[in-house]
Amino acid sequence: MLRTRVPQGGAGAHLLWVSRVCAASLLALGLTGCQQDPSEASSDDDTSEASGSEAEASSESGEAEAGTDTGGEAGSSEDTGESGEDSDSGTTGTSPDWSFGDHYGLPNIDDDDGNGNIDWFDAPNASDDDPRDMVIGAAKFDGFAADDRVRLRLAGATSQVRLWHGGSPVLGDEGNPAPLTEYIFTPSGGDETFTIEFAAFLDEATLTLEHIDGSDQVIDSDTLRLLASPLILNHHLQTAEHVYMTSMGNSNADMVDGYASALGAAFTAVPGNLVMYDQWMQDEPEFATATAPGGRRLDTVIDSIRNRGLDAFPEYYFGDEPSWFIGTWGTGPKSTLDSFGNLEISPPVTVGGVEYPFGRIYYGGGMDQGMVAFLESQKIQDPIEIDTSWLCVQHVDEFMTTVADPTSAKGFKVLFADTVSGYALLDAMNGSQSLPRFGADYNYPSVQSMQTDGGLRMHNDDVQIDVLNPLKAQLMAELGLVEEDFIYIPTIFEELNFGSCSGKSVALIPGTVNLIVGNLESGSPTLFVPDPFMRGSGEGVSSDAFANDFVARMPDGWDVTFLDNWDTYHVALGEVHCGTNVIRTPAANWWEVGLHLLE
Amino acid sequence: MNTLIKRSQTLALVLAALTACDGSEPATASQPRIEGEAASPARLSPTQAENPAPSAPSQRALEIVDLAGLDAAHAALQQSRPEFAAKLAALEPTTTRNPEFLRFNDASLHDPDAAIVFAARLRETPADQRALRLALAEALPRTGAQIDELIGVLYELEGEAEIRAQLVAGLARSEGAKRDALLARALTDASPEVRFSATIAASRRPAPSPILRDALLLAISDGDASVRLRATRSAGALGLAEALPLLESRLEDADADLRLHSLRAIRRIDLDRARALAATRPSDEDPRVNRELAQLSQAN
Repeated sequence: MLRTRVPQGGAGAHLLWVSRVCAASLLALGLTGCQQDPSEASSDDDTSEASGSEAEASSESGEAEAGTDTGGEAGSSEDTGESGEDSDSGTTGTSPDWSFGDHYGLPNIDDDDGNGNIDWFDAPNASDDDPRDMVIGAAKFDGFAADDRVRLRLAGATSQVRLWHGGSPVLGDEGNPAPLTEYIFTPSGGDETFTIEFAAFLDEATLTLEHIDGSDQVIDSDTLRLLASPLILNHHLQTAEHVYMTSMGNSNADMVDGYASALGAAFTAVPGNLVMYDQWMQDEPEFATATAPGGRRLDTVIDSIRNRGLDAFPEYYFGDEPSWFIGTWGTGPKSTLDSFGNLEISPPVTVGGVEYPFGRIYYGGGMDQGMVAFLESQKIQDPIEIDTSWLCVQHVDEFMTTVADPTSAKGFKVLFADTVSGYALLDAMNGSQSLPRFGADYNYPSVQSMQTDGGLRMHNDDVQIDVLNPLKAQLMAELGLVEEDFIYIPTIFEELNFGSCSGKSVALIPGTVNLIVGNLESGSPTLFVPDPFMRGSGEGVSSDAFANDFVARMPDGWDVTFLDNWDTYHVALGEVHCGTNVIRTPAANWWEVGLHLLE
Repeated sequence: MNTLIKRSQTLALVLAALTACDGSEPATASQPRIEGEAASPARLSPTQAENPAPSAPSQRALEIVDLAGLDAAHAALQQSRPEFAAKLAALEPTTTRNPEFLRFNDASLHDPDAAIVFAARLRETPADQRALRLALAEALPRTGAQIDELIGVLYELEGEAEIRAQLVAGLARSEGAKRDALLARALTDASPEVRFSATIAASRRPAPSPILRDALLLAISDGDASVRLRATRSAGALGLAEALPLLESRLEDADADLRLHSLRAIRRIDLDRARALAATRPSDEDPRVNRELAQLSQAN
C-alpha cells in the first residue's frame, strides 16, 4: 500500500540512495509525511526546511536559477506525440536545426510497480509510465565532426529532475548530495534517448544542449524548459467519472438508493464501519490530477489534515492503485476550515484579461497556511480567499456552486444563495401548510410559524445585506462575472444560538445550493439536490414550492433528483454536497492553454 | 424518498416517483406549479403576520415546576417506559460537520418524554463533560415538549454560564406561558454570554409580553457591547416602538455597528420615521451606514 512516508534507512546502496533523496523530494513536494532527517537534504536544494511552502520554493528557485531564455519551441511535435515519446523538431538537411521543444512531464510520485516506494526512488522500470522520453534524432548529428560531442547543462531545480541515458542517471538528482549538472556524450550514430522524470508538482529546470567540438568550443546551443505538471483541482464542468459517499446504514439509505439508481456502476457507497461512520465525504479527500503529453495522467487525492474517520478512505481505495498519489499538505492546528467543503473551484474564467482555463480556486479564509501555500504555489488556479466566518461550519459550499449552462455566455452559471427570494417564496406559501420535519427539529410546525419569526427574518435580511451582497461583489471582481452569470437560489438561514456558533448561520431549509453536479459521460446530466421538505407528511416533492422553484431556475438540460439528506446531513449541519465526492476527467492540456500562468 | 424531476429542453416538468410515498399527480404543465393550488397562492396580509391566528399547540406541556417534580417524572418514566428511558439515557451525541458542535440525532429524540430523560442527564452529568452537557441542553427544544418550566428549573440550578446560555436558547420557539418571564430573567443574568443568548431567543416569537419588552429595552443599554448590539437588532425584529427614542440616540454612538443596527431597527419598526431621519442626517464615516442612509433616501 502506497504511503507518503518513506521507510527509514536500510541496507544497500539503493536504500541509501532512496533515503538520501527522501528529504529533498518529499520536502519539495511540501508534504508533511516525510520521516527523514531534514538535515540530510542536498545543499543545492532550496527545500531544506520542513514546511508546506517548500513546493513553491523549489519551483521558484528553479525559475530563479534558470537565468536563460527557456524559449525552446513550446508546443513542438515532441509534446504532442501520441506515443508519449519526444521526437526531434526536424532537420534542415546539411545544417540540422539545433533547436528543441520544451519538455513537459508528470511528477513521478506514484508507485506503479507496487513495491511500496514512490517511483522517484526507483530506477525506471517497465511498469513506470510517468517518465517521458526526449529523443534526439540521429539527423540532429548530421555534420558532426569525428570528435564533436553533445554537452548537456542542467540548471534550476536540479535536485528535482533526473535524466537517464543508457540506463544510468546522468543529470540531476542521482543520490549524491550534489546533483549532476553537466553531461557530455558522443553520439552513437543513432537516436539518443533521454528519459526525464520529476520529483514533484511544477518542478522546473532548464536544459541547455550544446554541440561542441573537440576543443569544447560551442558550435550551436539551445535551451529548453523542463516542467512538471501542476496539480490541478476539478471544477464542475469536467465530466464526472465516479461518485462516492459513506453508507451510514438505515439513516441515509434513501440517499444511497438515490445515487445508486441514477449512477449505477459509477457510484460507490463506502461502508460506514470502514471510516468510523464519518459521513462528510466531501471534507476529507479532494480529488485532483496532473497530466502530461501522451495521455499521461496522475490521479491525486489531497488528504486533508482534518483526519476524522474518512482519513482511511484514500489509502483503502487508492493506496494500491498505480498512477495514484495521496498527499497531505499543512501541519495544523486543524479547524473546520481545513475540510474540503471549504475548497472549491470555479469553471474557466477570464479576469482582467487573464485567462484561467482551469478556473480559480476559492476557499474560506482560515484554511491551514501550508495547504494554502501549496495551492498558491501551483499558480494555474490562482486561489481566492473568501470570508466564511459568518457561518457556523464556514464552508464555501454552503452558499454557492456552479453548474454548466452551454447556452450562457461563459458556459456556466453560479448558483448563489439569496435570502430575498427565499423569503419571497416563503411568504407566497399558504401559512397553514404544515411542515412536520421543521416542526420536529426546529419548532416550525407550519409555514406561518416560520413566516412570523421576526428574528429569523431579520437575521436573513442582515445576512443578505452584510454578507451575501459583498461576497457576490467580490466574486464578480475576482472571477470576472456579470449579473447574468448568477442564478439566485431561494435560501433561508438559521441563526444558531450554540456556543461558539452563536449568531452564526447555517441553512434552515436544506440548502439546495449545496448540491452535487453529476455530469457523467453517459446518461442524463443530473443535479443531486437536498430535498427542502417544505411540505406536509405524505406529500411528494412535486408539491414542494421550494423544490419546484429550484427546478424552474435551472438551465435547460439538467435532470434534478432531490435526495432526503435530513437526518444524517442536514440536522448535522451539512447537505448533499457535504456528504459526497466526485472524481472528474481532466478537461484540458495545461501545456497548451495554461503556460501563461506558469511563467 | 427520492423523486426525479426531469427538466427538458422546453421547460416541461416530468415527474417520476421512485417510491410509493409520493401520491401526488405528476405535473405536466410547462410551467412549474404547486399541485392543486392556484398559480399565485394566498399570502398572509401584514396584519395577519403581526397577529397570527392561534394554532393548535404543537408542544406538549410537561408540568415540571421544580427539581422534585423532575426527579419524580424521571422515576415514573423509568417505570412506565423502561426501554425508552434506558435508550435515551445511553444515547450519545454525534459530531456534526463542525467538530466543535455535537448534536443528538435520533428518531427517539422527537418525543416529549425525551426532555425528561435529557434534563435528568444534564443534572447528573459532571460539569467537566462540557460537550455532552451542551448537547443535552441543545436537544431539549427538539423533543416536542413545552419546556419553559423545565428550563426554568434547570436554569436556576445551573452553575455553568455556557449551559445556562444553551438552556435559554431553547426558549426561543417555546409556546409556554413562562417563556417571556424566563427570558426577561435571563436578560439580567450575571453572564454576558447568557444575556446574549437571551437577546437572540427573545426575537424568535412575535408579540412579546410587557415583561419581555421592558427587559429588552434595558438590554439595549447593556454594559456588554455584544448584548447591546443584539438587543438592538431584536428590538427591530420585534417592532418595539417604545425603543425608538433610544435607538435614535444611538445614531450618534461611537460604535459604527451600533449606529448601523440602530438605523436598521428604526427602519424595521417605523419605515417612515427612518426615511425622515435619513433625509436629514449627514453622511456617516462608516460606509455601511451610508449605504443604509442612501437606500432610505432613495425610497423617499
